[in-house]
Amino acid sequence: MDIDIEDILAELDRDTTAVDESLPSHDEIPSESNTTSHTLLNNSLETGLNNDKNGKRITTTVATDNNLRIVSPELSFKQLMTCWRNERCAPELLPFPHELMKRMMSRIQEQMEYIENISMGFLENDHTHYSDHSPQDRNKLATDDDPVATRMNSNHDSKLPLLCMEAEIERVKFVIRSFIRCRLSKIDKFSLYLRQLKEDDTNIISLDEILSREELEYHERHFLISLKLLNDSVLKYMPTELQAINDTEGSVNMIEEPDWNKFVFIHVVGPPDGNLEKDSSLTTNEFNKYCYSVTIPELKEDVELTINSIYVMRYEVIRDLLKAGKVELI
Amino acid sequence: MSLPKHLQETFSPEEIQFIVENEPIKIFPRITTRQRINHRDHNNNNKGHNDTSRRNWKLITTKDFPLNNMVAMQTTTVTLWIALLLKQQSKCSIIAPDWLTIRSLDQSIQYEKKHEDRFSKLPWNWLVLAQLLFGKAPDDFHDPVHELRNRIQDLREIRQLKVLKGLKYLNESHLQLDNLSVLEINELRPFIIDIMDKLRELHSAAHGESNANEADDEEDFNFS
Repeated sequence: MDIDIEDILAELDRDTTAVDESLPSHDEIPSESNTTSHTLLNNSLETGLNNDKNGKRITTTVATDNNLRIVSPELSFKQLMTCWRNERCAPELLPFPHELMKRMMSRIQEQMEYIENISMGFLENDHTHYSDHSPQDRNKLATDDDPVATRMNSNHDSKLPLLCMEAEIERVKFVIRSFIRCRLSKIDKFSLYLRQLKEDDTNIISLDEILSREELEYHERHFLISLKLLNDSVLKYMPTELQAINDTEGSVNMIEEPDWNKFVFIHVVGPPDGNLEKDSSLTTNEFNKYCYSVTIPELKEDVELTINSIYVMRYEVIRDLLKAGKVELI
Repeated sequence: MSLPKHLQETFSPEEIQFIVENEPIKIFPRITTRQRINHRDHNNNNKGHNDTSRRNWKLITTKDFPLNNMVAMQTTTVTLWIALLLKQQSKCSIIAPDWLTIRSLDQSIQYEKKHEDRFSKLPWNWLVLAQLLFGKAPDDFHDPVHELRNRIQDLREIRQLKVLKGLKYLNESHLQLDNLSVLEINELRPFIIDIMDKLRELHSAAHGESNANEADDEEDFNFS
């Protein structure tokens, strides 16, 4: 998915120079004195924004240039949705998407500032215009169906883009909130297990990769608080050999691990770059369809996962495929 | 916990709707947002005004290009939630997707009836999308809505029957459920997963004890 940035930039250039002659000049006369100052102010604001827009495009390009690809906002939102859905369905805590979240957060921040700037523009300029001219505009709309006038009117007092931008930001924020809450609840659940991971040096994946900085802190302090509660209320009355809260030797293992074999619904999407020939783990079956071949070790059974199909499958079996982005959970 | 209990294993129907709302859909705009390119040589007085009166769409989750280039009654593709928002303000009409016509729904019903063992190729979001459009844009269909509603209901019932049949085959290894839609999956999820997890536990417990005679074990399972 590549954006034609040239096109957008050209559009922006046109916008700053384009003057709409359809705007009736006598409309401006009554409020001329105070509009000019405002327009000046707004003009500078607007160009500043335009610069900012350009600047942002450039910075996002630069920031991701390390990976030598440009990540478009649409793509990162798609990735975020996939992350969210996977996290909600997976039994284990998936690695935190550091880069993606950083990008999303900075975008939200910028967008919120942008919206604020725009709504300030509304207050300063258009408000005075409404009171004077909106009846007139409406009259014009009613009397003649001139599309230009309609357009001007709709453009002029349209709060629609603003409404949409606000709604959109709420939507993104909802996904991120839900994503993080889901992760926090998993951190609660696997608190002891994560601790064990941290202490275990032989582990392949470090805790910093799985958790974000805030999550690490939450994990640490939440663990201490609950430990203190348990210690003070119950554990201190126990004999010393029973005081450990992470006893694995007793009759019941106290460390709750993720249920690795939990069944999950998967959708086989194929390699992320869409290039079926290059993926070495893909094979063709007798119906000449591409599929992944996986083995369920416990049953010694081979299963072919055809692309674009839906399966109910054990998590452990498809874990590697999920990490490679070749299947999605639903 | 930080995530409510009923959301921990599955999605709520509202969340499924949220996911579906991120899909693209075609609309007929009733407003024009495309900027005119001419009037370059007009006086400067208006220039400032033009700048401030323009409200650009600048979105961070979808392409904002189509939204800035809407021309009334020219089809364009936008994200569903924006389409619904525009529709609410009667600023656009939504074009129903190809499969949501009486003809193609009838074909799907035929297919469902002919093939007992599989689901017809409806899009993964058919149930949610149909529901949304019937609710929010009933005046935009070419076919009468009550007819469409009937057919959607028929499809739903036929598929539910098949699902009920399929539930007989819950096992400890895997299931294949092609073309099952996301809402259907979501309502089945807690049930199917719980049952299959229990079957798996039983199996692995039995398997662990009788590791030596595997053949017997397999046979046992065929009987049960």
